[in-house]
Amino acid sequence: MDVESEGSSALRLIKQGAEARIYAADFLGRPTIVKERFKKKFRHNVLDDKLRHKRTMQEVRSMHRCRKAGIATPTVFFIDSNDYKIYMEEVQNSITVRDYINSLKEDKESNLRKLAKIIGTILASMHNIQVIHGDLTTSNMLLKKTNDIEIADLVLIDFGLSSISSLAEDKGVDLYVLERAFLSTHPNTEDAFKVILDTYKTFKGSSEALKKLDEVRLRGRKRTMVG
Amino acid sequence: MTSKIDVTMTSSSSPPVLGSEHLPTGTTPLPQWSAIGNSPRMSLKLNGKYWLHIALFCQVTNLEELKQGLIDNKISAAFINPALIVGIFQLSVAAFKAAHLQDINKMKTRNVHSELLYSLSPSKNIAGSFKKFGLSNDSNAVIVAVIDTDSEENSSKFQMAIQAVKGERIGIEKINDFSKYEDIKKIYSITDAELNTTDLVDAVVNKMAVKDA
Repeated sequence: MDVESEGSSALRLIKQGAEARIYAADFLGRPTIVKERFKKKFRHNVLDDKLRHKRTMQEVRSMHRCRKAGIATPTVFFIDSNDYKIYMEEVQNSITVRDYINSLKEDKESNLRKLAKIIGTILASMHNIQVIHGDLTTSNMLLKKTNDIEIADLVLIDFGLSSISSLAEDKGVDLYVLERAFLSTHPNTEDAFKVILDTYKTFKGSSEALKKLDEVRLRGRKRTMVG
Repeated sequence: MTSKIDVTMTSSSSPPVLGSEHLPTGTTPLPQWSAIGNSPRMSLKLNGKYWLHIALFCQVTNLEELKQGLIDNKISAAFINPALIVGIFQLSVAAFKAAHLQDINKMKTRNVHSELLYSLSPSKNIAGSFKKFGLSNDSNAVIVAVIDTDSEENSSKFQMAIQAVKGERIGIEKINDFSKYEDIKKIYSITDAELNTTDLVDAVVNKMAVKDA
């Protein structure tokens, strides 16, 4: 990742996306990630403000909802509602699940199974509280350690596309997004993904969500807008 | 908990403190703690502009007088009940937020110190926040917190505030001796499930931050 200095500012740019910039910084002595939803000049001012405000707040709300249910998310330190920045904890000594899977060598099968069970459990409890992540990929999951991993070691990040919904459709799409991302990033992991779905079955509304997943597989993420 | 904060400040290689971008000022924003000798001093640079000065007192005998001093605007400080405080980080985050809101003229309360109390609270009830986090008759321990542009020696607000308190000044590291953990968990509605994944300070700070969301 490129580290760029931001002029006189204390923020160090790490990443730039379509909607937000990610900076690394120090906040009152703690290593911090700042997510800034920047202004889009092509949007009408009032609309721009509204969208940035709504999305920033929704992101933080989903994270908090997950935390209360025992799903690890980065601690939010401060929200700058003036220029739509979220200051959150930088999860120390962590690697993405993506890098973790790619690094597995010995005991690949058993480690992958363990990880898949944890992911399945977390998705189940997340959907149980009606949180739809919206962008489930192995890059949006961090591991705090790589040995003897437990549920508390997997940190979900980037709730920028998250929403609250009790619809099985939305949960099915959430799973579909992960399936596509998982299988395309990590070839020959069909068995592991099956373990994720099997573990996911533990939550009450899972059968409907899984049924929807089958439907979504056939038609893709977008619903046909007929009728 | 507070161990992550550097007490011995050294070189300029330390990362600058966030938030300075809002505040045009020449000084380098460094998190500066002055814990000099055994004296119970604690000051922290919030950003390029503001300091937070903290002092801890126990056996305070003039709570009513202090309350009146705040009402009459004679004292410019926040008097905080340490029962609901888990660590310095919690205080500094609340102070940072108060200072930030003051700078952009979006404070919900009358001054930066009442805003500090309000920022500590997980609720949007201002009077209730003062009652819970401000001076309480149940406790004779008091945290004095002052947000000021002046450093500790030059901060007349801080000096006035600590002189107004009749009690024994003790080291700020004893701050946790007064924490009532069950009350903290209840008031910040922190679940045991959450504490499986994070420590109490982070859970509290998170709750403070998401109050407006």
